[in-house]
Amino acid sequence: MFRKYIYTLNLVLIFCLLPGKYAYAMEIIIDKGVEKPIPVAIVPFGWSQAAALPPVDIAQVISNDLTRSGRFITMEEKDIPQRPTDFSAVNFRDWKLLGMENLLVGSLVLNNQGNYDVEFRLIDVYKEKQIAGFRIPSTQAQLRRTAHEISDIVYEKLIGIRGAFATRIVYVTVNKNQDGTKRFALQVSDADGYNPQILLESNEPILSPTWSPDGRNLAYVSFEGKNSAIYIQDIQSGARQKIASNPGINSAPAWSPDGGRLAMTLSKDGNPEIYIFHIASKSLRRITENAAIDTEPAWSPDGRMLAFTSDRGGNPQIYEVSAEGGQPKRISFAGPYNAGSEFSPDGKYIAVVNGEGGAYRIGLLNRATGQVSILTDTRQDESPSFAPNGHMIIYTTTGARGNALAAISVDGSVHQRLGLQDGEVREPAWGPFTNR
Amino acid sequence: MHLSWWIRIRSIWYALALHIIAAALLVFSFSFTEPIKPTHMDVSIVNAVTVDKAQVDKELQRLKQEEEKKKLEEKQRVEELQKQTETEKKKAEDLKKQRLEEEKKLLETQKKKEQEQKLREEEQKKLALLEKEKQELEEDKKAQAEAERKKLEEEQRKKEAELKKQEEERLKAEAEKKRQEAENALQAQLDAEATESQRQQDLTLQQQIAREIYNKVSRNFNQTGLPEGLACTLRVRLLPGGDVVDVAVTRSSGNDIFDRRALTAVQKASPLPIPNDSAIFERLNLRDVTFTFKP
Repeated sequence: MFRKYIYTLNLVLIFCLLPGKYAYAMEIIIDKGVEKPIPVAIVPFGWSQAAALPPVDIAQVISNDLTRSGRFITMEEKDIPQRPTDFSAVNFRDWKLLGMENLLVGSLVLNNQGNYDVEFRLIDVYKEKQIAGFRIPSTQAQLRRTAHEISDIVYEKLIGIRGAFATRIVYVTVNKNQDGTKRFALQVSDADGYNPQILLESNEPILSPTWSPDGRNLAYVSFEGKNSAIYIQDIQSGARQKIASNPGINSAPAWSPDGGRLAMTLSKDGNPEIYIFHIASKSLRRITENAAIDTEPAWSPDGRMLAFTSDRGGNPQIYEVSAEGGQPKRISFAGPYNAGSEFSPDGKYIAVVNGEGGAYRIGLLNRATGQVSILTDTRQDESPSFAPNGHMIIYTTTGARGNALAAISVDGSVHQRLGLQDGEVREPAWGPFTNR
Repeated sequence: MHLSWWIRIRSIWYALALHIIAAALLVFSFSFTEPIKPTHMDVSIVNAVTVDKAQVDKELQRLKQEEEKKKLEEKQRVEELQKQTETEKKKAEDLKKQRLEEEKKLLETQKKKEQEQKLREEEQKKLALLEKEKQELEEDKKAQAEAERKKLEEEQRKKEAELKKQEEERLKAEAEKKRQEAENALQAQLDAEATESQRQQDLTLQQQIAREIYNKVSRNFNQTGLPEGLACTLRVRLLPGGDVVDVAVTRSSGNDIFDRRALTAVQKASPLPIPNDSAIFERLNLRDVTFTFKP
């Protein structure tokens, strides 16, 4: 970096040394910048019913989304200097003084059908130009979703990658019954934790929910029959299907990217091993064969590889094996404990729980280099799951009230607890993109 | 001069002609004085034999006849010879006459030549006289000219004096001019030195300004989420205070977000940190600054 800087100055020098009365303009090469959140002011949306409050504070939802991503900095509503609702009303000078590079203005109109038209414009303050403008029809029930969709658009227009705000997550909550026993619930919510929806409740443990690639089904492990079994459940209809209930352990289902198979851990042959189950044919194929524990399989995005956790080397570490089977290869070496893997959407990283010195943190294992970069600084972090755009990871972290849901940006810059749920939250899984 | 030359040519020509004539005469005289060939002299040989009288008579007769014939022949021969001699004599006379005539002619020619010579001499004398007169005239003229010249010289001297005076004045002016020029040159050198020192100062200043602008703009260049390997160039127009009045993308990265971030970085860094001095602004050509963003 310093060398580049020198180079820049040398370049300026060259221009200076040219004869004549500085006939050449100065050229400055900017070879570095900063990585910091992008300022974007979300102006409260205009509302056609002056008397009543809008049913959802869209601006606030968007603002929270963007802030949570770690890539944006927004303004508190009280600090907003003016409240334009369209382009022509924007006084750019005010926003420039605040250093607000981007501006989102919009309005919410209740139409004759009792539905809403949400209109918005994303504006480049320094260029004084509109970057994007849309009108999205919505309903009262969909308004939050609409807000998340706007967040996605803002994210894409300002970062260049599709936002993952209008997605959902699945997780298991653990609450106490009145008699003190534990109550488990499988829940699906928006990515920001709002709109939770219970899909299954049980007094026996529910574990390891995982999404089908189309986002319509979930697979999970339930102990409701006293022994573990793997189920597939249609989210919309609630219909479910038991696909594995072998003697011993039936655990850790992982949906293949093509949606046709499930990788899972079974101990029916005496020892936990990785198997691939073909959903249509209900056939099972064993992938690993080792005296140690092999578990928590994860698919590479191209569907060719499986990563899994094995203690065959003495401690739990991440191994990779072809989805066709073959000789597994250890890929994690940083620290005595790496487990609970999930591939990033681009396939370059594997999110792991890295344990060292009694602390368990979320780390990113670089598949090419084998290095692990630690993202969190808490002590009991588990179950990382990538957002479908790969920019964020949700996980659980153990605090004073037990496990809580948290999210972190993959650059580690922002992590936030999604503390909406009562009780303990376990094993979140971020759902795929769904069509708008 | 011309005349004498002509005379000489003419005399040469005459001499040449005379010689030719003389030579011709000599040749002719030789041809006429060719030695006369001796006439044929037959010697009769008498054979003394005894003969009869008749026969002798006859023979005598014949001899007589022959004698007569011989005599006649002799006579004829003599006559012929005489005739011949006469002819030759006449020829010689003619020749002599001719020669005399020639000589006469030659004499005449000579005489004429002499006359001409004389004439020439006279003419030359005349010419000399004329020349002398001419010389005298010229001398007169010369004297006159001398006087004139002297007069002129006097005038010239005066003129020269005047000129000298003027020249002196001119030289003085020139010296003054030179001095002025030297002074100017010195001033120019001093100025140049000042400019050079100014240039050096400007160089340092420009680097300093570039560094400060670099610092401020790069601090405002937000790379969050940008893909690697992109570059774009902006042309930025500044006001003397450093305020950015216009930013144009001259070479796009092809990525709208990257270009916008670069643009925002420059706009956010406005006013750019440049000295608030319009002279420096102009000298360092800070009106247009090019930025290339290539992180």
